[in-house]
Amino acid sequence: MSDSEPRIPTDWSDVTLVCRDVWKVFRSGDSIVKALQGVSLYIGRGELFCIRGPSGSGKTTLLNLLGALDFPTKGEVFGLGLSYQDLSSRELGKFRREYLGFVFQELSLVPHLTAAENVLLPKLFDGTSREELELTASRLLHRVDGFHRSSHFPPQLSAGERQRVGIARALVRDPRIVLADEPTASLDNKNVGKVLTIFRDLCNSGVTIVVATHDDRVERASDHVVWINDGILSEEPFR
Amino acid sequence: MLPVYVSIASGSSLVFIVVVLNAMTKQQSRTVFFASLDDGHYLEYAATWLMAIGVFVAFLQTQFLMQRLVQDRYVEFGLFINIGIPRRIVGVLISLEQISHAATGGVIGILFGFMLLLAVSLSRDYVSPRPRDTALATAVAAIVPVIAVVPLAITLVMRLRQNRGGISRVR
Repeated sequence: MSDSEPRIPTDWSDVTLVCRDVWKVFRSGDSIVKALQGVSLYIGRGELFCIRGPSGSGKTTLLNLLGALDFPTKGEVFGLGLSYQDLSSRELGKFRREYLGFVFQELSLVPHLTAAENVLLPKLFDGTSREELELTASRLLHRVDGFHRSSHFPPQLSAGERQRVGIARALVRDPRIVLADEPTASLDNKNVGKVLTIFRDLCNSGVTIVVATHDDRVERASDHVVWINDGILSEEPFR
Repeated sequence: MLPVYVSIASGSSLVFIVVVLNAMTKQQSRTVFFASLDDGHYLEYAATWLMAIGVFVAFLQTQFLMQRLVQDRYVEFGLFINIGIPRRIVGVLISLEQISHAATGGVIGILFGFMLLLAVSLSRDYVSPRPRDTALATAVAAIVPVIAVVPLAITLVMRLRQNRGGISRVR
């Protein structure tokens, strides 16, 4: 096996996410953009998996496919043993709700909801009692070191605090997979350290975390790193 | 949200005024031009057209405004779907929000209209509209903005239902 080929897992029971020869092509008028070209990868349970690459390399597209937010033009994506292509719209919604947590880049918080309300957003409509919601919000905000800011609105929070609230929201349903798109962009060293500590704790408790980033600090903290450039994935950095 | 309410209210008060004006014109024309009905009819036609144009303008104004508002918040609604809130609930939320904004703007507009009517009533030549005409104007002014957002809400819900995955442009 060459370095550019994907590692093949030895224990399939531990594999959480799989991409098999995935292509994603965007058409805009006459032009065609090959965002992903034959990507195959296997991500294990409890792994902190890092996808590195420059802007426009296909990181976010790959993350969207792994999170069932988008579908490949060709190839298959599996999450927890389920092929996304075989799931209906409702089943995909349920899958995302119950098993996935998303940490988007900045501006993903609803500006007119408080930090606590933003954290609870995924649970607001499932009949959970008010007391339980309040307990959940305080527990999660404590976990990300942001409890003292629970009643503040996103514009009143710093970039690091907003990002940690975003992480708390991703964890509100105890997901088995967390997908994070540039979670450390615009954060200082101290806040990056906090975010990485949270990620490591989650991995230790069996949560799989996939991070798309071009941050060296995240790469160093990861269990496994792949590189992507022009939609081509490699186990080795591109030269 | 104040500019949105003020904008909807201006449309709604326009509806209120043109409906009342139409009724008052008919009332007055039948009194003043009782002997020459033809002249009175011209005025009535003019008032009816003015009312129709006023209602149409208010309808379009509310619809465009709310469409813009929804477009601006599409990322936010996309976020709701991406984090797993069922599309049905997101669709209902958006629709309810639009209708409540439209209704609030409508009520403010009616209050505006009543104040204007009070101001006009201070003039010497004022002919008071009949209560049933005022009630009709109030009902039309409340309903027009609400009806204006219904096609928009339906379009949006259909659009959300067509999209099988999430909204992949959330940043």
